Amino acid sequence: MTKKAPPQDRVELLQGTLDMLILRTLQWGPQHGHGVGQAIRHSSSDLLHIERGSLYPALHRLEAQGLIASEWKASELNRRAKYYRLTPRGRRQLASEQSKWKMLVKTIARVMRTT
Amino acid sequence: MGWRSWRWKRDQEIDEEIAHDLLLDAEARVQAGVSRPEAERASRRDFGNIVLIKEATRAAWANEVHFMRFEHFAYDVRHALRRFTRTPAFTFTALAVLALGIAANVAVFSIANAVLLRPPPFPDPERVVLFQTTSPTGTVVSASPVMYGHWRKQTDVVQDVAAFQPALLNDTSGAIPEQIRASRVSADYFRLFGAAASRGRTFTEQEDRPGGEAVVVVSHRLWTQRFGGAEVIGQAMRLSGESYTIIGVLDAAFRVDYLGVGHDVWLPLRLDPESKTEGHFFAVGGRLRPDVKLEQAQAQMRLSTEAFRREFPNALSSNSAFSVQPVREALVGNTRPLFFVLLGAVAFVLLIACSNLATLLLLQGESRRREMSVRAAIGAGRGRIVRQLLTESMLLSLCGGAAGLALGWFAMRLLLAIGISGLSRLNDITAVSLDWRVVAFTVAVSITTGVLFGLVPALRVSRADVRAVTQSADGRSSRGPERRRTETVLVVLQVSLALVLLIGSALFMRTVVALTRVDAGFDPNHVLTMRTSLSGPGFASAPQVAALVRRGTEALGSVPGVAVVGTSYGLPLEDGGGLPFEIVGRPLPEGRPFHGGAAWWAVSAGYFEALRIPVKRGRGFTEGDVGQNPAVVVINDVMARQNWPHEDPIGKRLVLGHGIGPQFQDEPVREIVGIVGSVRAGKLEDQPGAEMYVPHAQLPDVANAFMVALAPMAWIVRTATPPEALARTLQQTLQRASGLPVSNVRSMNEIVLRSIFRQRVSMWLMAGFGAAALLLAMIGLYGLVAHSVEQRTREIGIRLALGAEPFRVKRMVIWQSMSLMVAGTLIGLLAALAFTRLIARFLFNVQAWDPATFILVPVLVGIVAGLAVWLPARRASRVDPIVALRYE
Repeated sequence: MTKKAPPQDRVELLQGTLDMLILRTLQWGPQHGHGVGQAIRHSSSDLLHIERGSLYPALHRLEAQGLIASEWKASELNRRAKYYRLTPRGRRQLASEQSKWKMLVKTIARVMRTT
Repeated sequence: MGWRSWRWKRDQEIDEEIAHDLLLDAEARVQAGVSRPEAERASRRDFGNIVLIKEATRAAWANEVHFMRFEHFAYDVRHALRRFTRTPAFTFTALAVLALGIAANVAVFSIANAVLLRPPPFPDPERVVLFQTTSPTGTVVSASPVMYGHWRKQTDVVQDVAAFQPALLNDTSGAIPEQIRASRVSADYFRLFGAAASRGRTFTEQEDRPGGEAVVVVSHRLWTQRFGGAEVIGQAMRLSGESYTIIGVLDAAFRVDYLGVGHDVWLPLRLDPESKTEGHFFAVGGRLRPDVKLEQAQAQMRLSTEAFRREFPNALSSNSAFSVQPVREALVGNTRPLFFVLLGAVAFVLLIACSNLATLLLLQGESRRREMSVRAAIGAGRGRIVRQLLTESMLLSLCGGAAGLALGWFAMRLLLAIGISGLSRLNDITAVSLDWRVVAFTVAVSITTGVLFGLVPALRVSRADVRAVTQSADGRSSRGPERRRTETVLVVLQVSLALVLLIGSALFMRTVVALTRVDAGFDPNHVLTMRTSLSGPGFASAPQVAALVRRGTEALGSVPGVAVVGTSYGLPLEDGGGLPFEIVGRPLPEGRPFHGGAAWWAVSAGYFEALRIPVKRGRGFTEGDVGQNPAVVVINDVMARQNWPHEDPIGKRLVLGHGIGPQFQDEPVREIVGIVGSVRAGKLEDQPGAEMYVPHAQLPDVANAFMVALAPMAWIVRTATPPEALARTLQQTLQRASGLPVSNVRSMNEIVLRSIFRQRVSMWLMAGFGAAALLLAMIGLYGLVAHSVEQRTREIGIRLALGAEPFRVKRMVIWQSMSLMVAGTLIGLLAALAFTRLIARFLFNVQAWDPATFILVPVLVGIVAGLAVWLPARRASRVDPIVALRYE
């Protein structure tokens, strides 16, 4: 069981950011809900610990919006599990979100640097 | 696969997905060395609130997919329905209150819709106008042939100018003559009003000239009813003794209700285009040219008045001008303010109903505190709770609205059945129907109502405190005797609104009473009236008419119970005409051929006595006043005062109607032989004007022919006993004696009441609204006080146990409640002062701030309120202290 990062280091996530992280995670291939949560945690070195309470609603929301699609496959436990994958629309959304994010970061950095 | 099973499947999948996640997590812990049961428990704990997360996950779908929004909505609806069936008393009360409030709205709006909103039933109705002559004293729609000719020439602004005139004819085709409602129209009439012939054709210009072919067009209704839909083109119809050829049948779609009573035949008006007649006896309509605006046409009409005046210098008074007005405006314009007053009144009633329901919900909401707190505890947001509560109130109001729609519809049909159509010349009952506007209006009102009365309670109740649940063991409010500001304000609002309505209706009542008490100048009691149409060649000359009058009078006079019989070409408060007069021997005023105008009546000898119009000086008419004898005239005292202020008019001579047209060219010089009392022949609220009377028998034949074609003769029978009992006998007697069909058998009292129909209807409606408002407000007051007493039972019990007298307790409750009443009354009085100014124009002989009304009505309301408050107060004083203290 991986250790949780201390609370003050945990970063508050906006809804949109979570969506973007999910889309990014699925870029590398289909994954089920648990796996997505784990992947985000690993890739952020345990700084981002996504609450299940946010993750699953976000996954379903993205599916309802048509940015990701799902199918039921056999999982590593030999049971049925719901696997999510990116749709072409989701790929496009991710690209636009990423460029927006980069722009935002740059702008904030610029503002921060001048002060 | 329906959406419900789709949703169920999706719920199952979510469960499975989350179960899988938990399993993976537990697996990971087990790998790390935790025991399986412990691992599973830890996973569940770590996951979070599973129920809430599942709900949020489901909600993710609901927020995104549009139709899935219904899932929450459907759930709310089901839950609301369950609640309603479990509290039948509340549900029934709420639905009843809503149904009443909305029904009133529906009834008034339906009529307003038919009269004001729905477009008239002919093509492009906004461009169809009526020609009028306006002056400071009023607007006149009736026109003369010279005006008609003049207006037809204004071709740059109007087209399809047509004239029309209603008439009552006798259909003598069959064995028994029947009366038939007809309209004499010019050839353009059909094109103007888009009346197409489904068979045959309409008139040509030739047929519309004097001496043209005697042709007639029949209505669809007559064609199906009388002729059974058979082929009638070319057949003959005998109308008033003349034979007419049927040349066309009008389409069923053409409804004449907009312009008067339903007509069944149309005859050519046969106006002579060269006519120089200046007498008015028909109406004229036209259509604006496609590219012309109403203002342009108005301006043009006003300008053309000058040209007309140059050609006919005496036809108009100096401050008159021509104008045009859209048909609808012309016919219903004067009704609009009254409808708005009525709509305002029903809005008040609805407002009272809403605040009543809001109070009900607020008081009830306290017992739902527990339910709300539990919901909040498991994670339902405030918005969610508010939405659920609003769904409940919406559901209530929509159901109440549906019930109100049905109830209002029936109420409105009832109103129509008693003849509200008299309000603005709409006589066709089927014109008022349940169209989409009424339904849409009802839905809008229901939704608004639901939001209005549901919002405040929803916001209040949803502000649930989780702690409140744990503190108070029975889930009731732990706040103790509350100030209840909102409910108090609502009750005060109800009382003041009810007061405004009641004062309004009291003022209307006093108006009606004043109108019925007006001395109309004649005695309408015990008088029966009937009409016969004398159109046709058999009565073209005055002696022929005189013979008929003699025959009829004798026959009617021989019926037991009949005192006097008189005849006339019109009846006071129903119809009549006027003529200009010239005083012989007096110099004429500058540039005018007459000295003035007066109402003009052609009557029989018995007329004055039949109506008990007092002969003040000189004499009335006798059998001796016939054609061969000197021509006489009787004037009323207003005319005497106006024209002979210091002399005796008896013996002076008048010439009537010269110069207005050929019909009155042969009018002889008449000697004034009598002065009679003035009659309010127009409207009861108007002062009487100058009036002149001439005997039938002394009409020149040309004038006589004109009159019989224009108007049916009225028979006036004064009876010793109430006339209704003799009505049938009199009608049959006259029918036998005259050989003519007799219709419109009505007592004079009925005619008087009809003339003030609008005021009476307003009174009844306002009184109904006022009563409903008072009832609702008192229920609201009672409910509030009763609830308050119930909440304070413990406190009261303690007081009583400590030795307080029950009477003091009662007084305390009453005092505290009556202060509400006083506040409501004061606010209501102030509001009434403001609002009654709006209805001042509908009142007669009573001020808008009439002190008697403003004092008596609050006293009445106070008494009723006292009763509403006294009952719970009495219950308060009867509280058994022991029971109260044990009461938890």
